[in-house]
Amino acid sequence: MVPAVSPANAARLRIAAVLLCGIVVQTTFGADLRIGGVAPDFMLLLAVAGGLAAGPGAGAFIGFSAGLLADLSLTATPLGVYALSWCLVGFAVGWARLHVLPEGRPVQPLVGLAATAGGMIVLLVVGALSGQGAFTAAGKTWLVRVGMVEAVWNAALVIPVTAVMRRAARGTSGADRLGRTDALVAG
Amino acid sequence: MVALLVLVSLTLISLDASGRGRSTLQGVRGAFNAVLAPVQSGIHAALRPVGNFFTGAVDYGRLQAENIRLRTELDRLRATEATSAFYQQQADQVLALQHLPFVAGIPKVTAQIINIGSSNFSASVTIDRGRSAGVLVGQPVVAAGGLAGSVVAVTAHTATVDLITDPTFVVGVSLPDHNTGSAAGQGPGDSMRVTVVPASAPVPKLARGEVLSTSGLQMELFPPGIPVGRIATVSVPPGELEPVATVTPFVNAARLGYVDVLLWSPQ
Repeated sequence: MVPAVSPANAARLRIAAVLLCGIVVQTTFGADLRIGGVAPDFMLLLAVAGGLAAGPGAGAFIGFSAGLLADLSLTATPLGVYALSWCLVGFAVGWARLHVLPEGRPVQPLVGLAATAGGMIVLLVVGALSGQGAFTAAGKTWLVRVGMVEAVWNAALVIPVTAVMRRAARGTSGADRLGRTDALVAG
Repeated sequence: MVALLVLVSLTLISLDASGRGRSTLQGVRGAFNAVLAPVQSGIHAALRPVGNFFTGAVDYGRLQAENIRLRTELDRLRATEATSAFYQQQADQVLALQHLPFVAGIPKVTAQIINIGSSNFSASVTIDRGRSAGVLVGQPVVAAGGLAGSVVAVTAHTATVDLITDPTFVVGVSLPDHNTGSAAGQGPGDSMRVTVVPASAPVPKLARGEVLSTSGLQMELFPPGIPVGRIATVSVPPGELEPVATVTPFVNAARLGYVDVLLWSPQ
């Protein structure tokens, strides 16, 4: 007899599957999607979507996991730089979603733009604190270009990715709390 | 919860950056990439046409101009093909006379690039040869044209190569008048930055178009004589004596398909 899986554990498994799909797409397809030499950052997008779909606590955990997968796939930066950065992004987006942002898809692209810009700044600060010159080696112009292209990608994809993440996170306390809050606001 | 995650992240960064837990963490990274590599390879091969279509759609104008430039270059190369064999023969004779080590005499492993890194802050590729083929961390990687990078991580059947444009990549190069310098990658893009290593020799006069090769000095990480690139710009910073130059590498990192790993270690 197969033991029953609790809704929260089932949600964790679904989120893990989404994150694994994300890192596979990022590492196999990301380089082919470069615009002006800049690749999209799907793991940052998943952190933003995690915050939007599941609130600050789960958003931080999803961001941390997404960043850790990105860290594992890279060799140039110390393990944990992306995990810390995307953890803070997931938490900040989740907090804003719970306390400030209204429910509704129209606002999500704006969140995607702002969170990407904020995520870039967080990454630069974490990178600088950990002694990594790689993030600033290519100069300010490159950083601005990276921020703009990644922000456009994330703004364009945040609605469907958040919808997927919302389905995956159904059953977690954060997602259920957001759902109840939205229902109260709507009712 | 968030504080715990932040603490875990900071611990990982600290362990990896300080080098104390580096071997363990690199092992975890290697295992992760070893699992991911076959998946990447399969999916990449399947999705490559889609990526090519996308790249072609957004870069059509540039690709058209590059096509014209390449055709012109092909015509020019055909014209010089006949004379190059003669020069090659001469070069081989000179090298044999000088007893210089040369890349042609170093055993190598040919590898296919199975994945191109998608980071915007580093330049690396994954190749389909690893420890089982004799590939080790630190070995130089060359491609048609010259130096392509060096191996930075190895699993049983794959390896990660940092390309010469990676911001962490540095190689010693020979300069005119018995001077040496270092060429460093500057992140995604095409150029490297060359700085002159101060020496008792006269300050070298770098000229645009000059070809730079690896210096191969004692304890160097690369054998001598591997072409690196051609000087694109030269300037002397205010208050400095030594010039600073940018170099366009001979190897176009964005167009790599196959590379040779030199089974070579510093003497």
